Amino acid sequence: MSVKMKRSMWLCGGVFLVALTAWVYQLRQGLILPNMQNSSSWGLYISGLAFFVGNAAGGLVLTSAIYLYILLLPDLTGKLTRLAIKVDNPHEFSEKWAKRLAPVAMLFTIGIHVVTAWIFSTQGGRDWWFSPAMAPDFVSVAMAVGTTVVLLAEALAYGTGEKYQDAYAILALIIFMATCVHLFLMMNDLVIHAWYGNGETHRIMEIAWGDFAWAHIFEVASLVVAAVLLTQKAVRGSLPLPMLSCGLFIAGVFVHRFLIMPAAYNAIPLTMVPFSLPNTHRSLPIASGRFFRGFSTFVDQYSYMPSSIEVIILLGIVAYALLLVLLAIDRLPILMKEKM
Amino acid sequence: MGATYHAEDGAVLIDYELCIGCRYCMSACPYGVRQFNWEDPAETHKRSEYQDKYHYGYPEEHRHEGRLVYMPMQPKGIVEKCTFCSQYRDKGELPACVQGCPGKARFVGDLDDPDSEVSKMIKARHAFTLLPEKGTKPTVFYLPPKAKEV
Repeated sequence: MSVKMKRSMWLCGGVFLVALTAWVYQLRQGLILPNMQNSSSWGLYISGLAFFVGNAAGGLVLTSAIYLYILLLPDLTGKLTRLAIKVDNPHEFSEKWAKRLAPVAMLFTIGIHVVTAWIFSTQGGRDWWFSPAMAPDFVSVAMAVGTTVVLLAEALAYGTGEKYQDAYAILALIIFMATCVHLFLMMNDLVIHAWYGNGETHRIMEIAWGDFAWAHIFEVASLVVAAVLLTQKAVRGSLPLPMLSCGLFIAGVFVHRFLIMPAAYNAIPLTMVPFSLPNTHRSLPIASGRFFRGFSTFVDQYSYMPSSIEVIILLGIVAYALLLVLLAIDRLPILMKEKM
Repeated sequence: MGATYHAEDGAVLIDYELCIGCRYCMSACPYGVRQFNWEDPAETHKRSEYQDKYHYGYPEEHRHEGRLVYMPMQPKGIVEKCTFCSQYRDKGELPACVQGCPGKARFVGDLDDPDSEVSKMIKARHAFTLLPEKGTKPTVFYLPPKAKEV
């Protein structure tokens, strides 16, 4: 194991342990530690759930689609041989089972992410989410970001040599196409929200384009810039540029996933028009569920931002995933040995 | 989980023993009436500096149709909402807000009975519900003010 690999593992393990400690502390104290409250009852954790499910679903759809299943269990060595399946022709075995598993896996993964979208889009109480475009948009984002993760992992593992460029070009094209579909669906949704035009919808658009305008600009710009860059052969030829582009793309998708929350929650859902007076919408305050001396328990708006403990716990999940990947690279025969 | 259910009398109640605290129902509720216990209520109670031994609310746990729907101190991590004072109604008494309203502006009754006081008031005074367009079929009605009250 290289020193670099060892340091990376220690770093990931360390972050994971800090996050685990924070999670146990949160488990004991309750969800009073995150910055959520009654009016904003979901936050960074649920954004993270949608983000991670999307990454996993997109990556698995991609690998299912192009039969990248390489059942490497027959190649395991050492103590791990107990897990190995003894077959005469590993390649033929892999090909046979990949063809059988791939369609099922693809349906299953798309289905999981559609259900993830339905968790939000079936809620008539939240105008920001109540859209039939959300499920196809979730799948398009998943395809884009899952492919980006695969491209990033391949670039890190194999480099950006000429013999991989054809594969990377196909991946970049998939990312670009999926991004176009996503932006089309997202903009379509925004236009309909803006067109609808009642008091609640105006408040939603104020939050989305007022309070979080820069985040929205970033979620669009980062995806467009990164997707276009990845389609450029000159960019794909170097190692740092594809990695930076993939990083930018993943960051943009994460911001996109976070932005699912504020416009849904920052305005209290219930408004009234007293005595049907025109242009008179009153937001009805609700109990925040938190007690602070000297402050009202009732709120009619709330601007949620994650607390440090939420950020630490989310980083811990990322660190755990990275640690597993590093362990797999080190211990399992995942990487093809380069012929010198 | 099936923690939220329609009781036979029409009230929407939460079974505290089934609630896992996912807060899905809070996101779905267009009225914002559901409350989550973000911390142990005993801790909040301590910080609120009530007088020693003072406790608000009905002092005992209550089960409605066999389900735990009220506790004096709910455990952290579960959602609760107005029970329309199930613990009082099951004894034939009125909910606390009806009993205590200084303006006598609150009423509770059987909407299925067209001759009940509430049914008559709803019919006579053009009662309305909140957010009927959300399809929740609410059974909480509001009476608009009479002409002389406006």
